[in-house]
Amino acid sequence: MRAPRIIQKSIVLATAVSMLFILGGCPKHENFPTQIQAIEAPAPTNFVITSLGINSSGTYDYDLNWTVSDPSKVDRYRLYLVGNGIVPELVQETTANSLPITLPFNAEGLQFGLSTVSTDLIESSMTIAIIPSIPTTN
Amino acid sequence: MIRGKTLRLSAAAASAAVLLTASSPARAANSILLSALLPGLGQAQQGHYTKATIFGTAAIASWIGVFASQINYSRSVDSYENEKRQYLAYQDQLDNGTVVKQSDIDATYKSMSESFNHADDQQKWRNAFVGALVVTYGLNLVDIILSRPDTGEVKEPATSMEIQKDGFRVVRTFSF
Repeated sequence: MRAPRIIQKSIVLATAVSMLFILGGCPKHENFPTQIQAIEAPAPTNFVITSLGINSSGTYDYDLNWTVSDPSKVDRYRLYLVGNGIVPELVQETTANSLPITLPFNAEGLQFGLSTVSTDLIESSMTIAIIPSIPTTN
Repeated sequence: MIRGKTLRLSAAAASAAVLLTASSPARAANSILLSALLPGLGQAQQGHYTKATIFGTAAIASWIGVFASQINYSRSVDSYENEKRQYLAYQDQLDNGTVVKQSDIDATYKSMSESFNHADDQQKWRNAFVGALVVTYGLNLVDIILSRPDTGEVKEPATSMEIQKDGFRVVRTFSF
């Protein structure tokens, strides 16, 4: 019941080839990329929203102010509308350290996020601020 | 008389040796071929069933280990390559003037590093199983080349002792 020699040789050859395939033919994990070297800007601090009240045209004025520890690395700031369960929506970009905005409604409780974009286009994490209530005047 | 018997015995031994050498190479080559196919098969053909079981079990376990670890390693490499592609895409985006979030870059770098380390571990396992397989095949082939068929013949010990009335006698047996 000996198998024909050609079959035996073929099987041995197939075994050798499959071992070679396993050892040398498989993909390898290599060429770990170098870390991206880009200037990062610090996240804004002291981000405060001040309600200025209703203006003469019946809309609501707000003033946004913030600081940053190293302004030389900052190219611009990005203001987002954020909140629970909603994807942050880019509202505006500015290069200044403050931003006056006017809204047609009382936005008390609305949240804004502010981030910095570095000179190498790296965006920092967001700093969140909530619009306070309108100050009462006596 | 003694000399003639010795000559006849020598002639018989010589013809037996010729017959043995005429049939052994083909059988031995067949055993080696079988053992190259799967360790233990050649030993089984020669009647060494214990060695056949040991080599066969080791080879099958090693093959299973090699294939399983190879599959895991390939998956790890794929995962790493995906993370790497994503990470390099950030660099392209920055080069093209697109703003990229630092948190996204950090998260991708972290998962890429984890995937790389995982692939490293899987590769070590794969190499260990391949090593075990190579050792099994190597030992198996050395064994099958050096071993002789088990004919079932019970060999007499070369030296034995016979108890006698007034003592004992040490007997040394010579085979021709």
